[in-house]
Amino acid sequence: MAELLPGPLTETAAERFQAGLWRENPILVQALGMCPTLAVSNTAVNALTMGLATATVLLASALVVSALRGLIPRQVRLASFVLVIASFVTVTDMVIEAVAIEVHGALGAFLPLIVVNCLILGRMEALASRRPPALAAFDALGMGAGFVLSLLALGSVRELLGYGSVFGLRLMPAAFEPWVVMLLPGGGFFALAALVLAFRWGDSRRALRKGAR
Amino acid sequence: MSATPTPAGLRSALAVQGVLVAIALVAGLVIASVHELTRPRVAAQRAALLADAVLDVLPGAVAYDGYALRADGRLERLPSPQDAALFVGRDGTGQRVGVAIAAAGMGYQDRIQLLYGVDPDAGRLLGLRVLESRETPGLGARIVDDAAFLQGFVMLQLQFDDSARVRPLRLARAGAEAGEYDGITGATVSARAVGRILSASLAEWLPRLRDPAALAGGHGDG
Repeated sequence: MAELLPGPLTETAAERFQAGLWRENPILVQALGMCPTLAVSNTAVNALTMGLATATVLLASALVVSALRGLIPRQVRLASFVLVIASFVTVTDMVIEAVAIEVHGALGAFLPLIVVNCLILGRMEALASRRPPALAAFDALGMGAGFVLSLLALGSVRELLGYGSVFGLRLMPAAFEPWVVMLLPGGGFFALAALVLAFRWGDSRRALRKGAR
Repeated sequence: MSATPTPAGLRSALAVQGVLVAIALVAGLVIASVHELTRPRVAAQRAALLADAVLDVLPGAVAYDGYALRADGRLERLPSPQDAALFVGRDGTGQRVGVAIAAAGMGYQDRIQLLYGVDPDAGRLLGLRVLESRETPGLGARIVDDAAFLQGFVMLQLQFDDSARVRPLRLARAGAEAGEYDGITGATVSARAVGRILSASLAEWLPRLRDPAALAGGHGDG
């Protein structure tokens, strides 16, 4: 758990941003928010919308919680965080319905469920409620970008193998037989496992190269 | 905290509650305002989706009115088609093209919601659109976008028995004839479900719609 807690106070905004992208990536390293990750990453569009919605809520909540950190009493901090997060989720949900009703229908219950994404509550408790807004914002941006990119990678791979397309654009030759399993829940686990494996492999190679130098 | 709170303890407890109440009030205000701001656009989007589907299953129609079933069994024209159970489509000259009806029933995994167009007088289907389904992706879900399957319902002649009741639709074994439709390989269960939902809905609605007075009430200007 120690590596999930914020680093020393000297850690800069740039370092927090990078941490979310790579070293503390919410999906690939922390394995948080697995429910939407597996459920709505069957196409690239769904994954991107879900990722952006989560990142928006994360950024907005981090700013508000960080700005109010001196006012919120310890006893009710979790209740306050959830209130703030739930409000932004509801607002995001309504805006997506007004702008793209078809995507809203495809994401279904998973948009309101961003409320219980432990990635967001975790960032509030671990960082936003203890650091000034600027640092909290860069942390949220990094975590959000890490979440969006991982989810997009999953969604693209699943759509490519399951439908033969990415963002609805056909990429596979006509003779390609779609792997239906990639669109089913099981395919989410396969794709996630492959992605984590590739990430770990790349990470350890990088560490080896660093060590050799 | 002690059993009998000191005035100071009570004050701090109230302050804690106060912060929570204040956050909740602001949150409620924000949500209510965003709801008010987005509601017209959401309604417009829903109406556009509905219009798209209704005009799609009624080829030739350019306008439509929504009707709802009244408690006395008569159909009543609604001022807004949003909550209607069925839609009467008209062409450019105001002639009735057909009736679009929403129907739902159990598929393989969950309820399937359909919208289909029917010409009650000629006794044939005009078109079909699957509005909502959660069938298996790549298999049953093809009922949503398999063009050949959906085309099979366009101009599908219905069969009636001796007492003028509509016969259930059948899945064709080889080459669809009257009262039959072509299935999809790998989506047999979902395709059968579509036929079953259509048959049940037709059996319920067709007798009403074939009654000449059925759609006469309530639409005054025609």
